[in-house]
Amino acid sequence: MVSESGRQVRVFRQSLVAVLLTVVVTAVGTTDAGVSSAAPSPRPTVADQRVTPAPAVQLPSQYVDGCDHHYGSPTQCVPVNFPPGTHDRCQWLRQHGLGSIPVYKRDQLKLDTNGDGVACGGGDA
Amino acid sequence: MQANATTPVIPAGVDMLAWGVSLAGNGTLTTDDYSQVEHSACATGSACTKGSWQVLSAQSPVRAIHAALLKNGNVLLIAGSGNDPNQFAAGTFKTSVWNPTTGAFADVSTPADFFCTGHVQLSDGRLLVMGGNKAYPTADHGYEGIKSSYVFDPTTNQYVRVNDLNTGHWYPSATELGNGDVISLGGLDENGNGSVEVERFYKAAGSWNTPRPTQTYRFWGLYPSMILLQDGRLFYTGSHVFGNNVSDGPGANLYNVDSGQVTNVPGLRLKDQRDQSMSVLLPPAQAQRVATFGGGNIETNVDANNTTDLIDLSGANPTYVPGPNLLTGKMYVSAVILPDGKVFETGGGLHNRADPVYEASMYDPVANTFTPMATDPVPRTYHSSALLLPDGHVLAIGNNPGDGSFDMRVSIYTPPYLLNGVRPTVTAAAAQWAYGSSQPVGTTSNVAIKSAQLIRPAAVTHSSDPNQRSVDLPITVNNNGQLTVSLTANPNIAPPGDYMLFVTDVNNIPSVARWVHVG
Repeated sequence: MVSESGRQVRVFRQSLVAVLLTVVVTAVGTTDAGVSSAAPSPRPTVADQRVTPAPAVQLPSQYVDGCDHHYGSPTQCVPVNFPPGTHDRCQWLRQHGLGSIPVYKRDQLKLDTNGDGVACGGGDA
Repeated sequence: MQANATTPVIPAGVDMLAWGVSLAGNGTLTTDDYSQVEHSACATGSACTKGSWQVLSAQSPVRAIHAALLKNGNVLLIAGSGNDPNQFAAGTFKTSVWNPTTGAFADVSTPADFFCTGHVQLSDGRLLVMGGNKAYPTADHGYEGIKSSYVFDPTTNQYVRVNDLNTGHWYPSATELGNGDVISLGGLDENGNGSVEVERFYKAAGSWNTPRPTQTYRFWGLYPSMILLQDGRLFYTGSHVFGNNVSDGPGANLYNVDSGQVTNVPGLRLKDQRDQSMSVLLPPAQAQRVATFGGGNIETNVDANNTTDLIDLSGANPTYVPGPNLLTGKMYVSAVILPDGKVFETGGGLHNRADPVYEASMYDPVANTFTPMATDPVPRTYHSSALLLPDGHVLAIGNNPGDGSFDMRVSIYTPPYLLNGVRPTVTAAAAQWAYGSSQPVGTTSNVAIKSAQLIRPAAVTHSSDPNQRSVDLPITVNNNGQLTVSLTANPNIAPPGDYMLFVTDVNNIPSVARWVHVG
């Protein structure tokens, strides 16, 4: 992670603007230059035949599918960003088959205004 | 020498046709044979020009998130847990084999969760499956990938395990190289992070990563579309799954898998809105032209776009250029190469797992135009796919909207070429073709055969089948339909494996495919 900081910041920056505030970014570094490149040098060499995985790029993978999994079942999708022109998010969700959605841990989209643990329920504004 | 001509529709009451042949120059012209064949008129209304759809009465028994055409003509439908956490919790993973001829489905024992696995046809006709799903997301953690890998054998309908990958991969790419090896890239690893591990399956060993391939330490994203070029490099088209394009620079690259060198390719518009676009190596593969259709962004959730970008990769400094717009914006698009040299695009949606687009069109790579076609009545958005069947029809399957449901209906598209006359047939061809060889192909046809091609069977998911290609077979001899065709000597043009051999007549009507093995 430390050695991958530049790429990590880039990926975070490119991903999920709406939920960035909930993601703890622990690394600070420069972004990739975006130019043609061969393999970066401070890595194990090509000759390194160990079956040791290359260091991964950390991602906010709970949001990788664009869905906020604080809501509903893992297979359902309350989008982290609603389509352009959506004024009533609960109405949009109901129109797409998602009404009265259980909230897990944190109502970060503010869809459970009465705090009963159900987003877009009967008592929510 | 043989020439063919097709008249326009002949009005009622005409009782005689006159025709002639002329040559400019000195000499003598002798016509020693001719024939007239009635070209049966299509009588199915708009289907004659737009094709037609049929929704089968039998539904898929599994959530067909992955679909692969097998060398025996059956279609492998892989669900794994099928984006259903209850199935995952129960350890219930599913696969089915569908026989398009009989309509029968056969269950296949599925040893791991292949939901969001990667897959590619191997040179021996088995399907290599790598990675899959280790965990569903919660409020605290995301999806995670598994390390395991299997090959599916169509002769036994069984998965056989091979050695593990070096990291987990959820949403990995898979591209067969000209020597039969496979490169797999990207996806999420066993901890839910972006895997930068380059994984290589060696054909000779039948196993992964010994020796460990050249590493680039580069994150290619999820299901990065990597198309093999004639010089052996991979072209990252910019088509990917989920959110922004994570590739450096302009969003498309040339990648030398041996040296690890990566070079930027300019010109792709809306690179961060190519999420679940679809890229296709346009027919013929020898032309080295790629089209990238549509796309969106599930994170920003903008309206999906209708742009098409084209690139000719045969030159020294390839650059994407704008192509004609799709008739409507869409992500989750399926693009299928047909034997008449066109590309059929179908299905799609406008937003993240929402708002299906009921539109289909035919892209003509020569005319560079889209023509509206009949539309699938079934929504085909997230987790939908389409593929060419050996009889020339197109299968469309899957749809997984944001409410968590899954549409199990199966649609079949009949292109216009199946409604406009008698089909030619392939009566004889060798089962095994060597690179650079000349191959006799026996055919029957009412009119002359115009072209012959090899089309690689699909292995598609998430609008991604980077191995899809149609290889032109130049006809060197055409003696009353008894053809001699030439297979390329370059295995990067036609990576080894099983292919569908089609012949197409001068009316653009293709035969039913005959399977041949290349390499």
